[in-house]
Amino acid sequence: MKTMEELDQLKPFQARSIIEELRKGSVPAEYVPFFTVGRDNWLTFIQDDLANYIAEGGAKVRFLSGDYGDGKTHFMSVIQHLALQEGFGVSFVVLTREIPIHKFEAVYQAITQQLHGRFEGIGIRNLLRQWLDTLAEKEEPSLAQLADMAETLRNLPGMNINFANALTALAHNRFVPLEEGEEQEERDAAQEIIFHWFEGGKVTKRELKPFGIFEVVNKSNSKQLLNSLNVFLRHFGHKGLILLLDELETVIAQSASMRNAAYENVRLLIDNSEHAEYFHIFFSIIPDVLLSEKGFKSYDALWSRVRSIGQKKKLNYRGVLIDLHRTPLTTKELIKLGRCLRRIHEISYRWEAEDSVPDKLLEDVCTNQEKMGLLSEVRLFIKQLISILDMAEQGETPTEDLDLAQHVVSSQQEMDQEKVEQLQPSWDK
Amino acid sequence: MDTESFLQENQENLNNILRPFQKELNRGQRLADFLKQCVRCLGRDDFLQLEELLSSKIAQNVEEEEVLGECKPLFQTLREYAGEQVEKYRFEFIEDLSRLAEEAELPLEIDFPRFTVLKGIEGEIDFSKRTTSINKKVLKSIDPRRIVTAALRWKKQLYDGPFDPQAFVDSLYATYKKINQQEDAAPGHPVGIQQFYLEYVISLQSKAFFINMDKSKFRGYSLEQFGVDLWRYFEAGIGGTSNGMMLQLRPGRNNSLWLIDSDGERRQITGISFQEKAI
Repeated sequence: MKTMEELDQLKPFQARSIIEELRKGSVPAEYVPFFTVGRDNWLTFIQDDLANYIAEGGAKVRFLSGDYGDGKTHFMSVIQHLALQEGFGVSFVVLTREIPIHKFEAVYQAITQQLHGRFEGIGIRNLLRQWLDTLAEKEEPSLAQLADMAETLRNLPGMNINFANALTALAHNRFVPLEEGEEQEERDAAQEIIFHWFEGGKVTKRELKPFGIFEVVNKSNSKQLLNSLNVFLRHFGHKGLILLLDELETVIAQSASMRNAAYENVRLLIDNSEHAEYFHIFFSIIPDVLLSEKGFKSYDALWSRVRSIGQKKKLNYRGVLIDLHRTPLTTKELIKLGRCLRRIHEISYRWEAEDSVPDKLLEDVCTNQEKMGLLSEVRLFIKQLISILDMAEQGETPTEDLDLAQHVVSSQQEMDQEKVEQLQPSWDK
Repeated sequence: MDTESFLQENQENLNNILRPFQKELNRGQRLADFLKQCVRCLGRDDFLQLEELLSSKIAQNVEEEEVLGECKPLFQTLREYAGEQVEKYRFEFIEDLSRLAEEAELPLEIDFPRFTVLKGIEGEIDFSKRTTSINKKVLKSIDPRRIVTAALRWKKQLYDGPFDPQAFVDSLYATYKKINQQEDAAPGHPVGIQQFYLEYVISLQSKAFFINMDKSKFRGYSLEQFGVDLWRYFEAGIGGTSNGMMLQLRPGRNNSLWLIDSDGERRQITGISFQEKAI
C-alpha cells in the first residue's frame, strides 16, 4: 500500500502508536496502509467492485473468512481505507454481546456512531453538522428554500418520511430565527433530541412529534432507516455506504433462538442486497461459521444462499467468500511485512534495527511458524517480531541469544490465552 | 454346628479378611504399574505419553500415597520437563502426524488445527488443551500415534464394512414405503427423517432380537454410519432404486439429523422421500 519512502514520512509519535497497538495484538486502523502487504488479488477485485459496481448502483454482501490471527480485522481496515478513498460512507462495527446481529436496532446505533465519510470526525452527528454548514455556505437558507429542500429530501427514492422530516427539522432548528419568547436552550435541547433519534437512541414519541417524526428506531424499521442513511449520504456527495461488520462468529456461542434470529437477519441483508443500491456489506467470520453445526449450516434459508462459498477447490476472487485462510501471506510477503514493521519500530524509538534484526532472522521466524502449521497467523508473526525488536532495541542481540523455537512457542501460548479470555463472558473477566 | 456350617462360616470369615487385603494389593499393583509406565516413558523419552500419565487421576493417587511420598517433587519436575518438550514438539507435530497417517494408509488432510480423513470423519486438535476431537468424541491426547489409531478406528468402523449401494438404497425405499403405507400418505410424500431413521434401524434387526429384545443381539446402526452410507450411495452414482425411484433428502431445521448430502456436505436433513425418475 505505502512505499518505504512514504513510511519514512511517519512521525515518531505516529510510528509509536502503530507499534503500541500491534504489541497489544490490536489493529491501528488509521495506519493500516503503512503495514499492508499481499492480498493483492482480493484487494484488486474489491476495489474494482467499489468503483465499477457499487458506485454505479450495485449492492453486494461478502463474507471474509479467516482463523484467529489471520488478519481479518486488518483486512477490513484496508477495505475501509479503500472505500473512503473512493468516496463512500463507511462504518466499521465489531459485533459483540452488546451489539449482536440479531438486534439490528443495536447494530444500527453502532453504525451511526462509527460512520466515516467526507466529513470531519466520526459519527452521524458530524455528518449532519457538516451538511448544515454546507447549507449555509453562501448564505443562510430562507424559509422558502428550506421548504424546497424538505420537498427534495422527501422525494428522494428510498427515503423514509421520518428520516426526511428529521433532516428538515434539523435545518429549521438551525436556520429559522428564534420566535418571540423562545430561548436558545430550547433550540439546543430540540437539536439534541433530533440528533439522538438519528443515532438510534431512546427518545419518546411525544418528544419527536413536534418534528414530524412518528417512529423511534426499532427492530422493524432499522433496516429501512439504514437505507435512508445511505440515500442521504448519496444526496450529500457520497458514492454509497459500505458496512464492515467484524466478528460475526460471536453468534456461534449464543443460544439456538438467538442464533436463528441472527442468521435470519444476515439472510435478510443478503436478500435486501438484491434490490438495494450503492451498498456493500462485509461480514468477517471464522471458518467454523461455515463448517460447524452451529454455523450457517444450521439455518438452511441462509446456507442455501451462501453454500457455494468455501466449497470450491479453486478460488473465485469475485465470489461471496473472501477466503483469507486459504490465501495466507507467503513467506516472502511476511518478510516484506517484517521489513515495514522494523522500519516503523526504528522510527518510533529512533534507532537502527537492521544489524541486530536482519532479514535472515525474519525468515527464521517464518520457518518456525510454518513448521507449526501457523504460517497464516499474521498476528503471531507480528507479535513475535515486535517482541524481538523490543529486546534488540534494549540491547539484547537476538541473533546470538534468542531461542526462536522457544520464542514462537511462548508467543503462541500467549495468543492461546488471549483466545480463551476472548471467549469468556465479560462478567468473568 | 455341623461340619458344613463350620466350613462355610470360616470360609466367609477368611474371605472377609482377604477381600480388603486383596483390594489394597490390587490398588498398590495399579500404582506400581503406573510408575512402571512412567519409567518406560522416561526410558524412551516419550514425553507425550509421560505428560498424559502425569496429568491423570492416578498420578494424583500416587502423590497422595504416603509410601510413595517422594514421587511428588519428582512428578513436578517431570511435569515441567514433559510440558516444555511437548510445547517444543509443536514443530514436529504436523510432520509426524502426516507421516504416521501415510504409513497407515490413512487419507488424512490437515488444515491445522482441523483435519479430515474421509467424508464423515472430521477432527480438530487443541494443542494447548492437549485434546483432539474426532467426530465430536474427545481424545485427551495430542499424540499423533493415538490420533492416527483413533482415526483408523473410525475409518474401519464407517468405511471398511461391506457396502452394496443398490441393496442399501433398496432397503431405504422398503422402509420408506412401509411408513408411507402405514400413514396412508401419497407416494413421494416426505417422511420425517428421525422417524425414518428409527424405523430403518428396527428394520435391520434379526428376528432373534425381537424374541426377548436381548441387548447383545441388537444390531447398532449409528447416525455417522447412516450419513456415510448415504454419501457412498450418492457417490456410487447408481441413479436410484432397482425399481427406478429416486432418493431425495430435504434440508431444514426442525426435528432434523445431520447427514451427508449428494454434494458430500454435512447438512441438517428433516425429511426423506422417493420420487419416480423423471423421464
